[in-house]
Amino acid sequence: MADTRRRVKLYMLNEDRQWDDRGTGHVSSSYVERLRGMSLIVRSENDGSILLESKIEQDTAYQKQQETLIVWSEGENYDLALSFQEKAGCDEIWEKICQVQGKDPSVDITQDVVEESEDERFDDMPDAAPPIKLPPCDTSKLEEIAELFSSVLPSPIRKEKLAVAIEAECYIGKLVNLFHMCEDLENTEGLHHLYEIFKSIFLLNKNALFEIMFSEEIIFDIIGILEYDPTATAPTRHREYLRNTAKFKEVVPMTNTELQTKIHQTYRVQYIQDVILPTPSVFEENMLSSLSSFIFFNKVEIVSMIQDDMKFLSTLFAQLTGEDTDDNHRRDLVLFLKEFCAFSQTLQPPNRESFYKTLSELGILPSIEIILGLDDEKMKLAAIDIFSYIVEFNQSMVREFILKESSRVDDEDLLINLVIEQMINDSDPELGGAVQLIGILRLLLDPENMMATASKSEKSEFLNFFYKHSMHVLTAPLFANTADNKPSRDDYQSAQLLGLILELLTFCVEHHTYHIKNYVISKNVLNRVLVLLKSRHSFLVLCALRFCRKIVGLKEEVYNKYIIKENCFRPIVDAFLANGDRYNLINSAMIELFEFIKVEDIKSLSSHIVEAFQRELDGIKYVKTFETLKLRYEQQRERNRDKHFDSHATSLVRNNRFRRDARALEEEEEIWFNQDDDETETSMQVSDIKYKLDPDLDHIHKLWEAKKAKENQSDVEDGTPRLLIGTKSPISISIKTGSNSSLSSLLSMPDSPGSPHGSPPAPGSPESPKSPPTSPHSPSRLCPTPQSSPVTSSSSPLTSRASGVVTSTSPQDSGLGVTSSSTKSSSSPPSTSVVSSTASISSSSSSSPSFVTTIATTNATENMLSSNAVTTLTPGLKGLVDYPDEDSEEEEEEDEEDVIAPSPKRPRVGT
Amino acid sequence: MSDMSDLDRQIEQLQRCEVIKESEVKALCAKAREILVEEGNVQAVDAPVTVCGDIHGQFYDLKELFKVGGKVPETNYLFMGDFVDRGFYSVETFLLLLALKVRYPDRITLIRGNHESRQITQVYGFYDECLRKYGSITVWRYCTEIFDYLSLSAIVDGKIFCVHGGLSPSITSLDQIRQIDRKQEVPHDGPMCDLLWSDPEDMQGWGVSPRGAGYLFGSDVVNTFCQENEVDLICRAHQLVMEGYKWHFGEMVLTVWSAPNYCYRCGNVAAILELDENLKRDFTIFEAAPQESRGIPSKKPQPDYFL
Repeated sequence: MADTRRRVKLYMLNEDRQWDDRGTGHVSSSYVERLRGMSLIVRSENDGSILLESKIEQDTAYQKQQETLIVWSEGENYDLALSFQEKAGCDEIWEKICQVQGKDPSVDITQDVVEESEDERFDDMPDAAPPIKLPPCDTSKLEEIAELFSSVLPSPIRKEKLAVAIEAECYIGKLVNLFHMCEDLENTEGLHHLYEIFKSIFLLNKNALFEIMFSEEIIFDIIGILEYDPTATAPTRHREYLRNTAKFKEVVPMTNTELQTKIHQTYRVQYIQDVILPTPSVFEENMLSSLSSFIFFNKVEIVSMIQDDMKFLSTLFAQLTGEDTDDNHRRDLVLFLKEFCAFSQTLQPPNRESFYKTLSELGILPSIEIILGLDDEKMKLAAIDIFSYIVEFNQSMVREFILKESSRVDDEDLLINLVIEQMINDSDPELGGAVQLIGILRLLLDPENMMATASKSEKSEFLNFFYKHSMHVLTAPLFANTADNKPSRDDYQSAQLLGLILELLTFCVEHHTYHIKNYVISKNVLNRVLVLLKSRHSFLVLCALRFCRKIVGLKEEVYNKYIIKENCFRPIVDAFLANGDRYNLINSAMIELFEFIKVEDIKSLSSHIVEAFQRELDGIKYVKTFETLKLRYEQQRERNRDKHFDSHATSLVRNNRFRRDARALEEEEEIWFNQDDDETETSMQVSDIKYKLDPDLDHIHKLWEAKKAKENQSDVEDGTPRLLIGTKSPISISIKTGSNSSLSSLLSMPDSPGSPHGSPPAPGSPESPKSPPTSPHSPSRLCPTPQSSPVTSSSSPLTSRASGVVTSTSPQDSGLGVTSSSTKSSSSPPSTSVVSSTASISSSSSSSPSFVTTIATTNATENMLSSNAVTTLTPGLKGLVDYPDEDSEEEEEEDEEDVIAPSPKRPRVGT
Repeated sequence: MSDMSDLDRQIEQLQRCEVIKESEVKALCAKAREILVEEGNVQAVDAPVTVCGDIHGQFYDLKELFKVGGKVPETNYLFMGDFVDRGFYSVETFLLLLALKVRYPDRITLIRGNHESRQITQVYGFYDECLRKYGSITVWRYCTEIFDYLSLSAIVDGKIFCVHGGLSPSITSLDQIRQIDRKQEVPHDGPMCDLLWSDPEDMQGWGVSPRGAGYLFGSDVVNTFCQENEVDLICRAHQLVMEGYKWHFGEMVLTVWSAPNYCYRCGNVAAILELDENLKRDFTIFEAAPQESRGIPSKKPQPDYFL
């Protein structure tokens, strides 16, 4: 067959549990006499040799994964995979296999493999498993009951049967009665048995049983039973805590009793999950997936009930901003709103959209603005948390608000400036709040999430605004601290704050080409930043250096000219020499900078460095960087001597270009910047450069002068950084011993969790199997998860850590060459998969949708380590993506001409 | 000096496998940062030294290691990365090692493994563990920031090159490692990534790594590298070896693995390499500590609720 439809790559799992590529060829299925049966045959496309001849046995479990993979195993340790170039080909062969085995081709696996001993396997045949007969519910039988219950746990079928029996016989109620008796009689042994019994019931993972246990009538009894953990020295008084210590605060009266009941129930069940039940290890967390989904769906209901209650919400907002509201009450209102937002994280994206729209219509952003203007730290922190929820979900909405506001509000009252000031004045000595806020700002300033429509460009509009009205607020501490030749304040907290600001500025250099360039050069930001090289805090020195490195990394001649003109390498060389030849991080970072200039052959900078600093750098011989720079410079000069005439001509042309109308230039500045780069690439005589630079830069400066003058007319403050608050020092950080807001810490969750952590892409090898497909040996199917699990692959890294996330990965990196498989529901083989619970739930039809399910298993093969799958259940937790630049590209799916290897580079989840 | 006694108390506490306060972690990390920032990408270490491989949060096994290898500061240690993930006690393990580093900077060297990374720890357990034990990710953030400061490799008496993973095609000489600005998340490719991800393989030249990062390197590569840099031995970790240590290419490359019964299920033994002042090699094999108790503190409930 010459077509590509049946083109496949054959993989075999080797001893190290890695998938070996066994060649590419075409697959067919036909009757093979020798094997006496229908077989799969793969013929090599190179030489026509037979790569595979495998009989389709009746009992072999074939698995279809990701639409183009078929995986199965033969014998003990002989796992094979066919990776199809086309889905159609895969479907055809799949149908053949199913036909031979008499299965419906709609399945993804042809046999239910159970990796257990023969009799257990028999036991698990649905028809073979007898219904479970429960012992009479009596104190004398408690031990027997406990044993029976824990004995069924390894078998999914028997778990099922037990759950059915418990429900049918109203057994939970009976056990609760026994509990009352035992507790009254102080029958400790009985109480311990009851604890074990209920622990097993939790592990049955059945929603129907949870419904019974968490009903208002008996939930306290269940919690009571869980107080008697036999391994604990004394019972923990959970009921007392829930009854007396925990307080429900009703900020605005709720008329809906169902809602109230639900709120109480959710709090208590959450308490059971978080506090009472032993912290599940990463290996067994999925055991309680139904409990998680119980909480999850409760939260969804609570949010929608409140969201629909307009009367409630409008009262809430009226009081929130009302002048007569008592501050304690207002604080509670803000905290309520924060919790409300945290709960909303459970919603699916479209519902969250409408959730935030509702809040927005009610005026959430102006309310936040008002609260940030108040002098109440706790309220401010909560408001910031709410704000970060909103920003994370919808940056455009917030930007739009900020832009609209700018026409009627003074700069200092702008929401964004309030946020920046809050950051600069973070009272937390660890700057937890500031770290969170810098993350919010970064999201708002990230062009990647800005929309571009035909009518307007959000990017240019917002960045124009930001650089005009807010940038000076952000950089105020930098300017205040670097007015002299050394940092005027060099305490740890100032250094930390400046470090954060530098990180954001570095981000801007990378992402806001035009605006930041203009800003850096016109305000001479780089030289100010480089003053910080004199800080005694090495981390700040490194931040400053990194900022410079990012600018140099852009390889833009305009920046280079600026660097040369302002002699920015002076402080760098000074710091470099001051560090001596100590081999430390600063030393390496410095060398890396020079090395980059050398490797990238940035001529203007190389020449400048050699010309200006050669004498000082000459002594550095432990790396070849400076010798090479010097050598190149000399060779270049030799060569250029011959070209003198040429370059003279070039410079004439160049000068002509600038005789243009200044206004026209201003508009075309960006184009000019770009073109300019290309032109200066042509080698100029080195001595020419300095001579030529000045007119160029002067010209640019004139442009800015004119612009500044214009701006100053309308906005006096723009020219110079201003002090932020009255007479306070711009870096005013008062020390407070409060702990970090737990949410503040969330913000710097770097790297999208959705990115392929497990296995970074192979350099230059998109084809290599990064992680094996799920091995058919994988016993993960021992615990099949409900097919209705409301999880789908998450496309947005922003949501994936929210509320409930499954991150399952094959631990390819495990450092073993040992392989493993981690599987979710229908055995998709993700190398890394992130499943966000916020994604579509609509598909769930069964009564026990699993919220979060991952299964970690041990591979049957000896010594094989298997994966662990990690599940995060913390409600309301979310993280901003801190470094969107790192992984964004990898999310792009690659269109491969070639046959795709069994494991994808990017997360994939089959649903 | 109260600083020191504070630190000693924290070390004691961590040795009991109890976490220290968030504010203490912060302070510890700030101090560690000052020390680590002064270390080179190839940190020079003097023999005698005991070289250890992956630990992976197996706290009680780390204590076992100290039992057989001797305590800090009596024994000089070099840990070749992968302190966190997979085991139940990554937090305690890493903080203990870090506290020892701050307390005895010259008696313990920590270099970076591929698991000392934000991305990896979000998947393999450390992130979740921090969240569970502290109720927020602040501690994870502090720790991962410190990861960026960890040195990339070490050289014992100029003769034994120690690194977590292995060699890189972009690095022929140790000086080239000096030119890496290591203060960053482990990149997806390039020399820094390779040092932490590569594996030796019975082959010639370079091969594509099935891990998806780093390379496979063959014996000829090792020969050239060792000659060029006048190195006798490349010592690394990164791969589970059932016997605790394994030689490759004659005795040119050595894998040391220090997490016994890896992931509490692999059934392997662990090893440490003891180098005396003449660089004479001696291996000590040890097994997993008796069944670990699981005293993982649960989260504190929040008493007031609105919803």
